[in-house]
Amino acid sequence: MTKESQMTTIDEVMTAGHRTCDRYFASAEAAVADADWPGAKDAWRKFSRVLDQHITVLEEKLLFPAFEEVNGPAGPTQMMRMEHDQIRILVEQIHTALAARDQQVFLGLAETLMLLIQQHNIKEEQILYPMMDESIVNAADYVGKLQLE
Amino acid sequence: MRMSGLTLDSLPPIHIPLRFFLTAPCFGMLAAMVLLFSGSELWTSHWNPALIALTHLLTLGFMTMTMLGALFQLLPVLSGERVPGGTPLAFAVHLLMVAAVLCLSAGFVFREYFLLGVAVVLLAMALAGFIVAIGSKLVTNIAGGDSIHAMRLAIAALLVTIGLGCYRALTYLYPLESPLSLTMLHVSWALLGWVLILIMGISFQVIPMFQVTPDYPSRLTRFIPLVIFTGLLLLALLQTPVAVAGLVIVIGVAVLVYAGFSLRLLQHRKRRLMDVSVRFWQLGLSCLILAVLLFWLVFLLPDIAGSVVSPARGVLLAGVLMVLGFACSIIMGMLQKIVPFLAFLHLQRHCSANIRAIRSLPNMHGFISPARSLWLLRIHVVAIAAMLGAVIYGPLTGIAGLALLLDFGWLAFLMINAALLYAGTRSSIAAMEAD
Repeated sequence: MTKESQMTTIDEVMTAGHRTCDRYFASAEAAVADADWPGAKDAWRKFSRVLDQHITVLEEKLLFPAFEEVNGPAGPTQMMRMEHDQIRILVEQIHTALAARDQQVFLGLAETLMLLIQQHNIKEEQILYPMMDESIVNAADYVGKLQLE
Repeated sequence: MRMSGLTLDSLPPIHIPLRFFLTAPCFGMLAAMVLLFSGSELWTSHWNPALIALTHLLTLGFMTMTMLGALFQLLPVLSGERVPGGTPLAFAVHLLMVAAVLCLSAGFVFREYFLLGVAVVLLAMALAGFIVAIGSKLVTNIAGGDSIHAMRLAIAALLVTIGLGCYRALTYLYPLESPLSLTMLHVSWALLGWVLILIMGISFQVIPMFQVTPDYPSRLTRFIPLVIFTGLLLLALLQTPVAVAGLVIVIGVAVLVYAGFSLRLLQHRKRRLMDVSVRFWQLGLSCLILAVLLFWLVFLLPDIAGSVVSPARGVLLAGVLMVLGFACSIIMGMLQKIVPFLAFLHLQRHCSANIRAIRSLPNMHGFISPARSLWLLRIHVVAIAAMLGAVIYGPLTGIAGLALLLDFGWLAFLMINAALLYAGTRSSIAAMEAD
């Protein structure tokens, strides 16, 4: 994997962001499977934070508006925003299951969230981010901004 | 890259993949019936018509059927492009495939070879429709990376397989020349080109993403499918024994590198949860390795192999490992994830903004429980072992038939159950909205 300092495209930085979320997700899931509830709570908090930073701050507030400026609001970003909302609902449900220490519900919902996030990520990594690198006028400036956030 | 018309909302209706996924296990059950009714005579010759029927019920009826359904679903997700033709095309491809596989297998089982002619026409129509629709997208510069690259090669291999297979079927009806090498090429393009390269392409995407493993190196994802494809092309052109042996070694090494690397990735996955689909991947990849080693032994060192197993039986064993052990395992494992996820995804879309309805949806484990998937894995391992046993010791054929019937019967039960829960939940959402 490219080191953060060597990343030069929106695609690289944002794809690395997805992988970071995945790692936190995996440790939360493993902790729940081991019934390590304090560990799970901690890992889940970290996961929710990086996920929210990624989808709300970096995408919805920074990249999507820049992309929509060039391509108009009715396009791929509209669909991605809808999927973000679906992800948020599941994250909230999982939070409730974690508070109730319900292992079975947590694992079923976590599996569902994992697939939902990954099919969303495939579309962003294969299609949307490369489009952003091509169409956002000063895409290179955004690479710096994304790494600072 | 083309940007116009991409909305990233190209989810095909759920009935498209489901019609393929729900009919596929029925062909597996029919294959089991062939085993049950033919008994140990099945294994006397490679050219036993019942054995050819059994093989095609599994490879076309189960494997290709699910792979077509998966492609109708996957291409839009990977590339953002809709498959042209929409529902009518998918509907036609599915019906033609069902009719073609039934005619083909009935033609062999009952030795009514005119049915093979009917099957050839139906199959050519089904796959021409599919390949033209999918191919029209794949030849353009679409997104999707190395998975799409592998898909292109796999679809090209499917075309060659079907061409050779149709010709071979017609040799039963007309006095055409039918060299042995042609049949061997048909089998090689089918299993190594269409099936293996397609599964490779999918694994490059799904193993790192869904199991949180490091990525496959891009040299591997680019070159391994290409090496296998080129190897198959050369196999068609070069007929000298030395050249063929060399190509068998090269293709085998490429397959072993892929399988070994994939197993290593799975071992280094960050998701440490015991997951049935991972077990299916591990089982399938291990069978793939065994199939290569066994084929090498029989093909390259027949004298040594001959003391243990006859070349004909050795090739059959490698075939069982490849079809039931590798491809069917991977497909069964994937179905345990794809079907529940699609059911959930479509229901979630169906709820639109109704949060109360979304919260009431079953999660993926509600559609197929991990405990039931685990039973499928156990039954499948027994079925593989029983089939291998039956090839070595004919009287076990009945037991293999029963095991296979249970294997695909249980899979069908899981698929149907998930589909019924989907339909039931959908009606209750509609009722909730009407309130």
